[in-house]
Amino acid sequence: MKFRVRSQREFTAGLIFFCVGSVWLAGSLDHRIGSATAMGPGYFPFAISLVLALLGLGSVIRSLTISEADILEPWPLAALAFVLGGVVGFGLLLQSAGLIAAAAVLILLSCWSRLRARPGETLLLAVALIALVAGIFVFGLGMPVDLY
Amino acid sequence: MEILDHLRLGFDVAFTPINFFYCLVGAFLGTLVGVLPGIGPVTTIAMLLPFTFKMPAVASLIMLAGIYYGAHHAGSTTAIMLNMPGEPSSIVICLDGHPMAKQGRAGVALFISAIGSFFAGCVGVVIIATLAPFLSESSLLIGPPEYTSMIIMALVSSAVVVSNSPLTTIAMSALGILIGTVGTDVSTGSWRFTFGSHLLTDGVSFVAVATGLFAFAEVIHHIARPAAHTEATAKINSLIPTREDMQAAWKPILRGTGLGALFGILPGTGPLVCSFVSYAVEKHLAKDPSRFGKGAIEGVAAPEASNNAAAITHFIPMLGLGIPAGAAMALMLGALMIQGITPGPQVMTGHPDLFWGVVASMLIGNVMLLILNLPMVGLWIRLLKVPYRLLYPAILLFCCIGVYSVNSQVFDIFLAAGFGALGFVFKRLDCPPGPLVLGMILGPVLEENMRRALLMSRGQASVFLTSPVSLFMLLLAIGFIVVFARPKKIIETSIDLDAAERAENDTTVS
Repeated sequence: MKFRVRSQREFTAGLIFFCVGSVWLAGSLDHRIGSATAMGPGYFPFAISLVLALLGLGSVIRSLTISEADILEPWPLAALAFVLGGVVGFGLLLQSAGLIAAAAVLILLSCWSRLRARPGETLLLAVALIALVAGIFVFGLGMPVDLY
Repeated sequence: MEILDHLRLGFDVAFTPINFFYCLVGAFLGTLVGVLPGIGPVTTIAMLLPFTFKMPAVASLIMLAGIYYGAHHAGSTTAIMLNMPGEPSSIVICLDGHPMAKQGRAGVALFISAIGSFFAGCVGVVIIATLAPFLSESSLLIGPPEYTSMIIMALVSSAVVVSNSPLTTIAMSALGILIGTVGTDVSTGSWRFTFGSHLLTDGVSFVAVATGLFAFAEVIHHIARPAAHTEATAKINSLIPTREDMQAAWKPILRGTGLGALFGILPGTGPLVCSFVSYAVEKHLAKDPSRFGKGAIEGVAAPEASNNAAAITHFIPMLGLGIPAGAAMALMLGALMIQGITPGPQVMTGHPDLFWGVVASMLIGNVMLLILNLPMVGLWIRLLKVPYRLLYPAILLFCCIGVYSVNSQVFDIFLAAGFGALGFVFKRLDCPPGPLVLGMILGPVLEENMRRALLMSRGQASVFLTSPVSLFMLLLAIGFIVVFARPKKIIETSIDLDAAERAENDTTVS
């Protein structure tokens, strides 16, 4: 008998939950489980990750049987990469290179696709935003961060 | 008169200049983000969370609450004017509000929704003031087993009402609970799931999780799929409803208020449910149900009133029991906990200024919203045209600085980026992030109470079934699963699903 995934979304989500639950279950075995009267640090995580793994398994089974089918659309990985790349870049540069450089990297990376289409607007936005946050956080609120 | 004393204390607190100012700021910001495309109250609260830590607790909660109901109010405005629900709970308002606007009665719809909200808000405050003394007494009945079951009920009910698949959303709460276990175990002091790193011994930063899941994931989602541009289609002629309008609207407002107040007191149910339910009730009671969806004034009045009544009475379970309804409230609760205030029955007696001040400020805020919104609707609507490409770099930058400023820890920024990726994946898979945040907040409380309950019962799990209150809560949870396992079916019978779905596509359900 051949199974067909009817709901790709629910199937993927269920798989993720099952894997995370199983890994967490294994992780909670590193801690003392104890008994219901004297719970160890592993008792509660063990119970909840078991629930999570079972719910994941249930979703996978449900995704094979439910009537409403759906398919996953293609993922906009470029947007994901540029936005999160900008955020990580901000984190990497903040303490070593200062707020101005970090903010510039964040804004320019996250606006990468617009940088070529509207370079003037994007650069102006970057300058204005950096001036704004420097004014508010460093001069206004006295946040302990170097500007450069 | 104890009730009047409480209310007087509340208004004294709310009318101090600083609290009044933050109430205005909250209502203004809420209205702003309610109309701006692609940024909602949850994102805004997540973004502003770090900045509230340096504010007094009362003022910060007043401001966050203002954002919450301000955004909701603005959501109804855009729903009526543009058929674009700014908030998931405004989806229902679109159904009849926008047809009214098309018939040239936008002003009347706006006025009725404003009056309905305001009236419901007043009733909600009176209900809170009346019930509060009983609540602090009844909290004596709530021991660890009852509390455990109540949290389970709240997690289940808030999860099942937001989704098409109850299994995956309950799994989201479970995942949230697990994330909440990271860090030092309170009762044994051992480190759990920290990977031996001292960076995680205090647990996963709540602000980082909220920022990643809501703000970052939302930004990525919106860049990838640009929002459709909508032009203002309606003009406002007259704000004042006719005598017939008022006659048709006052009963639905009363019924909506009653339903909303009831749902609000129940821990864990969000505003989305009660607006749907009150719409369905009105349609059921109407002499001519076919008018609904074509501009029936009852379809605007009742959901709007029930929403606002619920928003205010939700503060009973939130502050009194520490059980929030929905993601925005969970974030507010997180803000309070970081301020060092543990929500629970003792909040009302230990911090009466906080409880009553916030409640009173919500009334003041609702008056402010009337003044902010009705005369300036045209101005707010124009803000919808602010292009998202100018907004999101600012959102990202403020979020990064905010996350960092909590602990001055660069690690938290990376954590937020990771949760951003996770949030984006979950958004694609139709798994709402709200239950995860709720689970993260309630997880430690759940563990503590479960531990105590089982200790007291000598390990007998039957304790959760023998206590009547606990049994009732668990049955309620099962009831929610059964009723909402097929949410579409229920809604289908009462509401034109096409319109609801069309509206849902335009909004971002959080």
